[in-house]
Amino acid sequence: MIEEKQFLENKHPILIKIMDLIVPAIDDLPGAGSMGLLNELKILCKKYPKIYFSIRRIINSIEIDPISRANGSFIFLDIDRQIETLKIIELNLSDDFSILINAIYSVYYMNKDVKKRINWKYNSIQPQGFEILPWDESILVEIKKIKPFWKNPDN
Amino acid sequence: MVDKSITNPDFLVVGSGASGAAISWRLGKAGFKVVCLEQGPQIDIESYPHTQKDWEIKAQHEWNNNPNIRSLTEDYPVNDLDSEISPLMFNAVGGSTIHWTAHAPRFHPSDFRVKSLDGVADDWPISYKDLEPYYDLNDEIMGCSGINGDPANPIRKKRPMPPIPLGEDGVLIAKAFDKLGWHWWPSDNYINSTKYNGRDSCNYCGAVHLGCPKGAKASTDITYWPEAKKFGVKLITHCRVTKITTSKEGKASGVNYKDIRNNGKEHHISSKNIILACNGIGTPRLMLNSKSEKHPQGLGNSSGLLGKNLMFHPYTMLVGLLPKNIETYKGPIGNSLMSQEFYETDPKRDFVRGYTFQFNRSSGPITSAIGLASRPVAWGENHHKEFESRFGKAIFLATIIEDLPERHNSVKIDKKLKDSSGIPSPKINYSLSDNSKKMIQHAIQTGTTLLKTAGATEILTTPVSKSAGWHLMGTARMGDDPKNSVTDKWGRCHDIENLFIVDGSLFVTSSGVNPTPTIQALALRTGDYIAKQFRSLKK
Repeated sequence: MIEEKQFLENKHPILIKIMDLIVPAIDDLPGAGSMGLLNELKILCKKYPKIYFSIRRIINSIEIDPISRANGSFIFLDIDRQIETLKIIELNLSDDFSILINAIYSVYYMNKDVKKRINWKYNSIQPQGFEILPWDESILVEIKKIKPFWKNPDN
Repeated sequence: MVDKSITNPDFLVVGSGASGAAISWRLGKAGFKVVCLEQGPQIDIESYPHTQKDWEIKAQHEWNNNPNIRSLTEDYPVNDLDSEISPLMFNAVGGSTIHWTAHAPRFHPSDFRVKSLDGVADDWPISYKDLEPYYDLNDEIMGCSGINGDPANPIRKKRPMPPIPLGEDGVLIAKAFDKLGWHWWPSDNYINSTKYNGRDSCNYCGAVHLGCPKGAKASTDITYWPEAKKFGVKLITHCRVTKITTSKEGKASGVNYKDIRNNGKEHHISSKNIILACNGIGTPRLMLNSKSEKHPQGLGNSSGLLGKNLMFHPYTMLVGLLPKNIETYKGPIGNSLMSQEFYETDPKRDFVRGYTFQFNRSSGPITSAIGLASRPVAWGENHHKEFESRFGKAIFLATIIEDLPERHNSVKIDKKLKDSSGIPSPKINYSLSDNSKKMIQHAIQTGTTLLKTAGATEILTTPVSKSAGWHLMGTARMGDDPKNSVTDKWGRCHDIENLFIVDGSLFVTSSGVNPTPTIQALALRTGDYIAKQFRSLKK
């Protein structure tokens, strides 16, 4: 999709800013945009076009915001005003915003540095699986004291 | 050209999921010529997303359990704009058993007698005793892990495997129930706690809702189908049935279907008998789309009840956040224990019937962030703090509310919305009853008490989960009176003697438990009936 590619290429600064606002910096990790995850987001857009269309609607909405226009661009607003603008978009385009949030969270928590920070050691959950405590019937001691209480309507 | 080996079978089954697989197996075993048409593909279990690093992203898209989100060629869209709950389903060999969490409870004996006991809805034309041997048979074929002694349920045959371990989080919840003096019991699950019938045991990766690449979770593509094929049952994939055709006398004569892979070319197969196993939405959709001169309201709809009385199970979700990370993503995400403390009607409460608490788990980091069974983690300055409070610390109680039948809750045809083959799609109208709303409020109170007792420091509540329409029931109910039901007690249409239904459409009431073992037991029972009644057809 040429249109998709061009649109996203032209909106790098605003997308990076949005990503930083959604998932800000923590400890020694920068925000999701400054971490360089935009490329992953673009890959996701290519694979799942509905993400691209949601992002496009959100950016178009930001760009027609009168205060953003008066200041030249969303990226020149102060951070409080940027957050306020996103909150208004969240309210007005709730489905699109929800798709955007899910996409940003998805690329963020796939990142190896983020996984390390939250102590998630796995790339996938199979074939290794997990270990859990084995079945131990002694847990039934208390509940076994309760007498059968199911109803038998056919008696 | 239609392959001659599949023409004019004794029984043509539409749908290869929970019930279609069970009845195909039973009739194949009895020696009948059986053909099953499935609109989805046969999926290799090794292609499930668990071994891929983007498994949590695929779960949101092509592995989503909502067909409207997934939008694969084999799916059909469902108009759910006027429904408080979105229907979920999967189209492939094995149907929705690919996606289910494999919890395998049974109806209580009282569930078949709600009119007699509580003066609401209708009694079923059959009893628990009628289904019991088929529940047992199904447990054996699907492979049940569990243990006898549950005081809330009748004693049953010994399960072939011990229960799935409860894990640290499950033990925590079990002890909280004990402290309150409330009922709980390890759940019956069709997940192997040990190796069983050539299938591997569970390694607790968690994501059973995306299929099981080890084959430890039972889905009918790996339980019933390999056996059914050995009996000569022909299973044909990528075939979307567009219409059930009828003879001049009004009997079912066969089906028209489109080959989804071959430019949607339409074919016809004639059949002596037809069995529908397309779920509580797909079956009425097909019957309503099959209207003819003899059946102007849709096939089998002289009662006017086809598509009416749609029941889901409303799900109330309570997520408890523990103070310490105990890695609550380890172990099957579905039900490892359940409570039926509030299952039966209690005149002291302001509602009839009741609900089951199911103890469920968390999942990986992306799923935790986007909000499993609750709102997503906040974006912005509180994001990291909130994520930290949830990841590995979230346990959740899913409350499965008994849904009583109401005629205005229905499946109709949306003539404008069509699937990839151009066939009109279903439109759902569904709203919660006052009885359900009262039950939900009760469940929020009791569930909150339970989670606090278990040590949760914060509780996130979703009174009704919109994306929880797993159970599709009631839209072609069984009964003795043709004026008040679509089929008889064997699933045979009152109006058309050679048309049977074996899926959740048959349900008279919903109970307060997951329906699949009951759906499969009904299919096996109908299979037994047919095998006796139709002996003369045998090849």
